[in-house]
Amino acid sequence: MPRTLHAETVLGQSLFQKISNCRVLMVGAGGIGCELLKNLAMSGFRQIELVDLDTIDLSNLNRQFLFQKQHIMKSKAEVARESALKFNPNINIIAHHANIKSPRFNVEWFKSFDIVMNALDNLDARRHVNMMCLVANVPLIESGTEGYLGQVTAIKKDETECYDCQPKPVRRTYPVCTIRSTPSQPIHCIVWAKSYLFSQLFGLPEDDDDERLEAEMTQENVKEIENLKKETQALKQIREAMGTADYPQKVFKKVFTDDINRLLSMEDMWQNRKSPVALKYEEIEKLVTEGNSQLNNTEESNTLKDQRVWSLAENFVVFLDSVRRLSEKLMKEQANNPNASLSFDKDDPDSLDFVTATSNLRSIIFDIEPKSQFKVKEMAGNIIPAIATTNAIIAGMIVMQSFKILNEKLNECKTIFFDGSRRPQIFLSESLNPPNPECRVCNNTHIILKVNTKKATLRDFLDKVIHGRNDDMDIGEVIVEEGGRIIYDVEYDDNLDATFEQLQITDGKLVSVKPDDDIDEQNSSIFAISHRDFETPNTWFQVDGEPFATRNKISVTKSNSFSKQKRKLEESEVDTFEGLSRKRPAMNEEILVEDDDIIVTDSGTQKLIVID
Amino acid sequence: MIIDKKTQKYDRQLRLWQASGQTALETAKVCLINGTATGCEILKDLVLPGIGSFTVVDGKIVEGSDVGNTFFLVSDSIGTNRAQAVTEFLQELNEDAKGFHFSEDPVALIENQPEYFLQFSIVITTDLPEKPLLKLADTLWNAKIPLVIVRTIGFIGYFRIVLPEHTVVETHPENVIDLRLDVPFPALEQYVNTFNFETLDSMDHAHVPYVVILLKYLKQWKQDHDGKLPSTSAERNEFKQLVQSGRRNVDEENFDEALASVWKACAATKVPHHVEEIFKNSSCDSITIESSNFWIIARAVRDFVSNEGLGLLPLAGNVPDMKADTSNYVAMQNIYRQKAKEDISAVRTRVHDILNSIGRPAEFISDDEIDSFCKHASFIQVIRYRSLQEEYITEPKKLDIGRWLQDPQANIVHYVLIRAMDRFYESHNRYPDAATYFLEDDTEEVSEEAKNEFNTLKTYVDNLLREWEITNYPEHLDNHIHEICRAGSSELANIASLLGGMVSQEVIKLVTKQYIPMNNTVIFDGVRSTSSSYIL
Ligand SMILES: [Zn+2]
Repeated sequence: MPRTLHAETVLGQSLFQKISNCRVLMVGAGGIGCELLKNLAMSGFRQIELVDLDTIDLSNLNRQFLFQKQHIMKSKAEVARESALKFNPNINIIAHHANIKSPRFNVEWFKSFDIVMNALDNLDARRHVNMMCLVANVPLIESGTEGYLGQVTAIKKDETECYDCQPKPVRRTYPVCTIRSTPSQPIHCIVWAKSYLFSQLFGLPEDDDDERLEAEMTQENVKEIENLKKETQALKQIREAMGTADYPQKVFKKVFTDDINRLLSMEDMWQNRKSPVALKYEEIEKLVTEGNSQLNNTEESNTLKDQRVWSLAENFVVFLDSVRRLSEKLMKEQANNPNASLSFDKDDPDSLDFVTATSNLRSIIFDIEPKSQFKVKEMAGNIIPAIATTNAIIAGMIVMQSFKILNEKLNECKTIFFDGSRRPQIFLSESLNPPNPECRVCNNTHIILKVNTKKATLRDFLDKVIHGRNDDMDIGEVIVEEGGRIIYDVEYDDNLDATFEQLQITDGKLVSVKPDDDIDEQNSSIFAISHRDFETPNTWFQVDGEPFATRNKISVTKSNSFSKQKRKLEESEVDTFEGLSRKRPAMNEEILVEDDDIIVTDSGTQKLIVID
Repeated sequence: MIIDKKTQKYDRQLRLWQASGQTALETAKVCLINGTATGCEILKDLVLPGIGSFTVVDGKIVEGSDVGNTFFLVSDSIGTNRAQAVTEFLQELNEDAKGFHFSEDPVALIENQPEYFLQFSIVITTDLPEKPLLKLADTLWNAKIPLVIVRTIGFIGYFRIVLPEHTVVETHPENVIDLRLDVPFPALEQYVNTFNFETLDSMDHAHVPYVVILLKYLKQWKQDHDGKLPSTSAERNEFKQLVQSGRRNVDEENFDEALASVWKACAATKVPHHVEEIFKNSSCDSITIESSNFWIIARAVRDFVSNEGLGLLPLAGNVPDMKADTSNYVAMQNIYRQKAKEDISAVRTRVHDILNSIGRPAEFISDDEIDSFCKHASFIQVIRYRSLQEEYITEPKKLDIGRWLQDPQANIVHYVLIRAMDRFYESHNRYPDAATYFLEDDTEEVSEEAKNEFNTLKTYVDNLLREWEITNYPEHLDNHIHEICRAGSSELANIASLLGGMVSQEVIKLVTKQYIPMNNTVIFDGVRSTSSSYIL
C-alpha cells in the first residue's frame, strides 16, 4: 500500500494531484513550522522550500519536535529538513538557513511558488513576506500562536485583506529620559539594563545614542541631555578597564553611585518625584560578608529558584559576578575577532543574570518593586508562552486552508481564531474581508522593475519610468522611498545622479513611489527591484506592469486640481508633518524594547497574535 | 543563579501552568490504546512537555497504511509490532518521559484483565469498538480514572471525556482582583483614615493609591446616602464627579485609575453563584474518610463564609499594580496580605478540625493546598461528567440529539455516524469502506459496492434514530453517509495532528487540574473548520 493512500482517498484524486505538483514556501521552522512541515509531508506535498534564520535552543525542545538535544546551536531549517526526510525520504525539501529579507529571496523567487505559508515569530518578517506575496501575487497563509491562543488566515492580493490592512500595535517605546533619568516602573529599569547598560558594556558602541538623545531635546531638558551624553562617554572610558579585577566594582560605582548622585544634584527633577537613593558599594559588601546573602540557601516551599525576588545583597553579588562572566566571554571572543560584541539573549544565563541584578539594583535605587528572575526574563525577553498542542492545531488548520486555496475556493477560507483555554467555543471563524481601501500596503500598484542597478541613476528612473511613459498622464512630482528612508522628493534632490547601487537599492529591495500631491498615500506604486545586466541606457529598465494603474483610471487634471485644493486647506498640517518626520524618517527617537518574539494586542474582539 | 536545564527547557510552558502543573504532568502515567496516527499525535504532544510515562497498548502489526498516515513510522517499521514501533520513535522526542509498550490486543486485555488499566492516571483510546469501550469505561469510572475516547474519520474528529467528577482550583481566570471596596475590612478602613488629602503636598497627593482615593470618597458618599453605595448609572456618574472634585490637576494618574475603577467599586462583593452551588453539593455536606481534599477544603471554606467570613469568601490578597509611591503601595499591599493570611489561617483551622473528625492527621492536606484554594475560592469549578453507560444505554439524550439534528449545519450529525459505524463494525468486524467508490474518475455514478455499503450503513443510522425516538429523518444525513462510505475509516494525517493537539490539551488540563476541561464531547469538522461541544 503506498504511503499516501489515506490522503489520496480522503482528499480525492484531483486535489491530491494538485497537492503533489504544488510548490510550497514555508517561512519559519519553529513551533508552528515543525508541525507544519510534518503535516505537509504527510498530506502529499512533495516540493517544499523552507527558510529560517534561527538556530536551535534548549527552550525550543518542549514543542519543536523535529529537534533534539544534540541539535542545539544548529540551523533550524537544516535540521528540520533532515529530520523530516528521515521519516519521508521521498519528498523534496530545500532548506535555507537565511533571513527571508535577504536579497536572494527576490520577487521572482517568490513568484516561483504556488503558495506561501508563514510560520513566523515577528512582525517585521511577516510584513516583509506579506509585501513580497502581494508583489509576486502569490497566496499567503498567515498564522500565529501564543500559549492557548492561535490564529490562521489567508491573504490574496486584490481579493482579501492583507496582513497590514488592519493596523498592528506599535512597539512599546519609552522616552529616553524616563529610561535614563526618571524610571518609575520595573520595565523602565529592565529596559535600561538590557538596552542601555548591557550594550554600553558588552555590545557595539551605539553611535546613534547621542542622536537619539538629541531627538528628544526640548528647552526644559537641554542640560540633562548634555549630561547624559557625558555619562555615556565616561562609561566608555571605564569599559577600557574590562578584564581587570576591579572592573565590576568600577562599573557598579559609576552607574549605581556616581551617576545617581549626579542625578540627585538636578534638584528640579525631583520636585514632583521621589528622589533616588544612591547605593554604597562598601556598605553592601559588608552586608554580603556578614552573610546576609542567601544565595546558597535551600529554598523554602516549592517555589522555583528563579521565582523568588532576590535581596539587595544577592543582586549585588550576581551583578558583580555576571559582569565578570560577560567580560570574560567578550574578551575571549575579541581574541579571535577584535570587533566582536555580545548581544542580550534571554536564554543565556549570564545575560539574564546581568539584566536581573542590574534592573533590580536600579529599582531599589528608585524605590520601584524588584522582580524575580523568572519575571525579568519574561519582561526583558518579551517571552510568550508556547506549547506543542496549540502549534499542532494551528499547523493542521494551515493545511486545511491550503487545500481550499489549491481547489480555487478562496471564498471558503476563513480567518480562524482558536482559544484552547475557554469553553465551550474552541474555534471562532470569520469570513475573509476584502482589501481595506485605506491600507497603504496592498492598495498600491505592484510592479517588478528589472534594472541595471550598477548603471541606472535615480534621474534615469524618474525620467524613463515615472515621467516618461505618457505625457498626458504625467503623475507630477513624486516622493521616492526605500525601507522607510526618503530617497527623493521635490525639496530633496541630492541623490538624482547616484546609481541604484550607490543608493543601496539593490536586488530584492522594494521602492515606493507616490505622487507628491497624494496626501492619503493611497496611490503608491511599489517597485520590486530585480537586477539585470542590461547594457545600453535605453534598456536599463524593463517594467513589468503599469505604474499608478489605479490612479490612471481617474482623469488626471481633475484629480490634480482637487488635490491642490485639498492641499491648501491642510497646508499647515502637512508642513508640521514634514518637519517632524519626513526629514528624519528612518531614525528612531526612542529606546525600543526589541521584539524578538512578540507584540500582541487586542484589536477589538480579535485577539491578534504574532508569534511562534 | 543558574537556572537549571529543566526550567530552561520547559520555560515557555511553565508560564502557562507553573511548577505545580509541571510536577503534576511529570508524575502522570498515560495509557494509549491503539497506536494510530491520532494516538501518536496525542502522545507526541504529551511527551514533548514532559509527561511522566506513557504506555502504548496495541496488538496490531504495522501496515503500509500506518506508514502512510503516521509520521513516526517508516517503511522499515512494516511488519513489526505497532506498539513497540511507535513507542521507540516517541521515546526519542524526550528522554524525560518514560515510554512502555504492551503488544497485546486491547480488546482481549479489556475482556480478560481489565484491572491492568487501573495503574494509569489517565487512559486514551483511539479506534476502540463499542463493546470493549463500554467495559473499559465502567472499570475506569469505578476507579475514578479519566478516560478520553478519540476518533478520527476523514475530515472529522471526535473526543469524549468520561470521569465521575473533576474538580479544579486553579482555573486561571482573567481577573482575580478582589479589593473589597464596597465592604472594607477594619484594618483597611483604619489605613484609609490615616490619609488627610488636604494636607498632602502635590507629590504625595499624586501618589495616593487609587484604592485609598475610592475608599475615601465611598465613605463620604455612604455618609450622605444612608450607608448605600451608588447603584444606578446616574448615581455612579454623580460619584465620579465627587472623585473628580478631589483632583488637583489633570496629571494625577492615580485619579485616572480611581475613575476607571468606579464601576468595580460599586459592585457588591459576594459569593459567586456557581460557588454557592458547589457549597450546596452533597459532597460538601457529608465529609467522610472517602472525601477528596477538594471537598474537605470546600466544606471548611463554606463554614468560614457562614461564620467568621461574614458572608464572604476568604480574601485572595492580590493588589494590582497602580500609580503610587512604593512605601504606600507596600503598606497597602501588606494590609490586604495580612487579611488574606488571617482568612487562610481561619480556614486552615477548620480544615484541621474536619480532618480530625474523620480520623485524618492535620498534615494530610498541605498548607500550600489550602492557601491555593483560598486564593482561588471565587473561581473553583466542579464538573460532573455523564458516564458512557448513561450516554449509550440507560439515559441517551434522545430529545437533545433530535433537536440538534434539525440544524443541517450542526456537527452532531457526525456523532450519529460515528455511532452507526460502531454498530456496523460490531456486525461485520470492519468499518464501511467501498474500495471503488465512483465507477470512473470524474463521474458521479457510484459503484454497486458503494450502494450496498451506503444501504447497510444507513440501516444502522435508522436503527439508532429509532432507538432515540427520532421520527423525522434529517435528509442531510445521506450526504454524510455517502462521504463515510467513500473515505472509509481513513485517518488524515493533518486532522490527526489537529485532533491530537486538541485532545492532548484536554489531557494536560485533566492531569494538572488547571484550566477548565471540556464537558463532555467535542466534534470537529475539518472541512468547515468548526467545532462543537455537546453534553451527551
Ligand atoms: Zn492591505
